[in-house]
Amino acid sequence: MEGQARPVVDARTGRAGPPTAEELGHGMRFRLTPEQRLLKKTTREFLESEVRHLVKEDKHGHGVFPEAAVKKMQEQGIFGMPIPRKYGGAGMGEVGYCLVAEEVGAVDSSLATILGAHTGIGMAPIWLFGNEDHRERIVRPLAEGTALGAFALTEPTAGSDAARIKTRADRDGDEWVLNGRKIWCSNGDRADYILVMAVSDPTLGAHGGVTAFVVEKDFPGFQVGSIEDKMGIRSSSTAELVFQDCRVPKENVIGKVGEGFIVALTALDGGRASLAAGALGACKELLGRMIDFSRKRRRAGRPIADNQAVQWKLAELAIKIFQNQHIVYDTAQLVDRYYHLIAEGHPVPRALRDEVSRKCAMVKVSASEAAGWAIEQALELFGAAGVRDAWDLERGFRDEIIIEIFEGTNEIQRLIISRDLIKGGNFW
Amino acid sequence: MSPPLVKADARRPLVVAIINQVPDLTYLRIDPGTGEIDLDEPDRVLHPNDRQPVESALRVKDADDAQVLVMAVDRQGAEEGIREALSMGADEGLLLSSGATRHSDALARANLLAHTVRHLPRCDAVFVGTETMEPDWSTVGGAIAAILDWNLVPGGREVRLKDGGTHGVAMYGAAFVRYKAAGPAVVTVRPDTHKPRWPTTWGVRDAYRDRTIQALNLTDLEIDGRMLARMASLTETRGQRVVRERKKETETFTDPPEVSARVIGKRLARDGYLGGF
Ligand SMILES: Cc1cc2nc3c(=O)[nH]c(=O)nc-3n(C[C@H](O)[C@H](O)[C@H](O)COP(=O)(O)OP(=O)(O)OC[C@H]3O[C@@H](n4cnc5c(N)ncnc54)[C@H](O)[C@@H]3O)c2cc1C
Repeated sequence: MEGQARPVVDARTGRAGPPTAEELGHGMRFRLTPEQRLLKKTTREFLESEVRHLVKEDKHGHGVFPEAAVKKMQEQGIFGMPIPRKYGGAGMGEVGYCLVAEEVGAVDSSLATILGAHTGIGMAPIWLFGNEDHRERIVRPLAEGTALGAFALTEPTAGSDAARIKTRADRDGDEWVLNGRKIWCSNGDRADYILVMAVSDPTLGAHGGVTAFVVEKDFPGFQVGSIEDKMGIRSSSTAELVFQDCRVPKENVIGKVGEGFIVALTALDGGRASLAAGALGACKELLGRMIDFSRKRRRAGRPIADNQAVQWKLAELAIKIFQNQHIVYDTAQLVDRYYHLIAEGHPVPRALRDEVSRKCAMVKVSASEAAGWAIEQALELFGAAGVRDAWDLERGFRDEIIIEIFEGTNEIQRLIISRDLIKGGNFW
Repeated sequence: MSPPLVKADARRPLVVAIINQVPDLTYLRIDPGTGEIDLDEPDRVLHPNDRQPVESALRVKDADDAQVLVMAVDRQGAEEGIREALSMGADEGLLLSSGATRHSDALARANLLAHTVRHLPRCDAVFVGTETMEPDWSTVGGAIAAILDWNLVPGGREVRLKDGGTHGVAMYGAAFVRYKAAGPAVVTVRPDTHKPRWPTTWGVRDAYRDRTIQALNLTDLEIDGRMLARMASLTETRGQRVVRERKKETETFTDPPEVSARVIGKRLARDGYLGGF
């Protein structure tokens, strides 16, 4: 076959010819399916018509939980996105969840926080690591929207260093007895089911000594403490939780005893991807407003959009949106594969786990910082109008900065990324 | 012909919702060369007013345990339109394809739709929107009723099935009248009739993964394409006359093009020509 290239047969696939884009990397071809496009469109229309007008901020006290908006979103199926249909969810995976989180983030960061605490870190790990009973008894009402979830890891003496939590869990017959205090628990005072990490064996450290429990709101010995009065995302409620001889039946242990830290870290990985999607939605909303304003606002007899300095801001934000859109959905696809393996009880390769943690950390940093940057630019662009309540930008300013802190600060995300690189992880 | 049509259960009532698509101008684009709205670019979506016949049919499903079949003629985006209706809760979709009915040929379409309805295992009512793609789209409903020799219920609301007939409220001129009619009916539904339900996330998923859409062409339906084409040319000609009359009402917009385009787009949406505003 002189002059003709010989087909290369791939030893793994047994197929001749160059690798497909799929084999080279699924992320190269990410496009929304018609189903995902319809989901995004109908969610946007629903939120604009039914929810946006309900979003108000109460500056006094610790803010007001947006009960009516949350109820509507629950009835719409927005609170069960990644959970399979057979357990009451929409069955649209992490990508579907991120699409919805993006639209919610465009409307209000408090709502995005409520959704994220419930879905990504509250409910998803119970589905991933729970047994059939947990999936039917706890996940189903959470996914169907008749119950709300939360996740409690942070304590007064353990934030970034979450491995140092102190809340104790001691076995007593068929029950576990919890004692300790959690702080900064989003939805904590509203939730029906809270995923709580506690030390079940202090001799073993975080890996082996921490167990995940579901505490139900009416368990004896469980109490909601103070509610935080925050600078931003004020409508999302952030509570202190107090456990005083709180009795938890052994049936409410999620995953194996001693494997609670893995449950928590896995939850936080997926949570960070959806958090990034919410920040991406906020960026898109801001860019839309900035374009609109710069066209309409006239100074020196012409729209301010005629100035290059203004055009650069718009272009820069468009670039950030384009970048984040790709990495968020590429990562969401990866999380989908990862979660699928866990939920089905397949072994998860260590390399995949590390890749997921690294990429989720990357998108969390990238999208949250893009949103923080975008809101500063928007405030500058709007001039005095921006600091007025009416435009909601000052609220956005107070909201967006918080995304850089929760579910692990961006400094900690950078540590996760760099530690994996130094260990030999891929960086593409 | 042995109708391959639908999976519907002939023992349960069956109602049909007919839908149409319009360009989705959520992201309005202006052709920089001509300064005109670019109508080729956008995706097509379910006409906002066509959520009305779907909602009306779904209310019959809720009240009378009817099966809801959604029917559309194959213009671009018809499948997406049907999926959207399925995601609201309709049971099945039928996509009718015919080269002769691509454009706004109301009579040809009415014939195609009526012919299909006749071949269903049963049909208790057909719901058609008014003021959708063509201002006289409600004439399609009238034409279907005439071809099938069924009752025509104009501006129907709260329509229910009983004893093989329908009853509810109809609009005659400016008046709402309670009506009761024996036998099946074609019901035209006005844009302001109900607040259509939102597709839920469960509905969207099921629409794509659990519901079927059958595609039928003229051969499947044993329809003479030349006959439809002749009808199409009749209605095209009439359409041109209407356009010429409209041209007399030319209005000049002096705002900057992007502002004018938005105003024009909003008006077109208000008058039922476009969706997405
Ligand atoms: C609004 C809100 C909602 C929250 N919701 C929840 C929830 O639902 N559930 C829950 O469990 N937690 C929740 N949290 C807690 C959140 O996850 C923690 O605040 C976060 O992990 C940081 O912990 P910390 O506040 O204790 O900060 P600290 O750990 O005290 O950190 C202080 C500063 O030191 C830096 N730092 C710490 N260690 C290092 C290091 N090794 N290298 C470099 N820098 C370092 C941090 O980046 C930060 O800048 C929420 C927090 C907020 C603000």
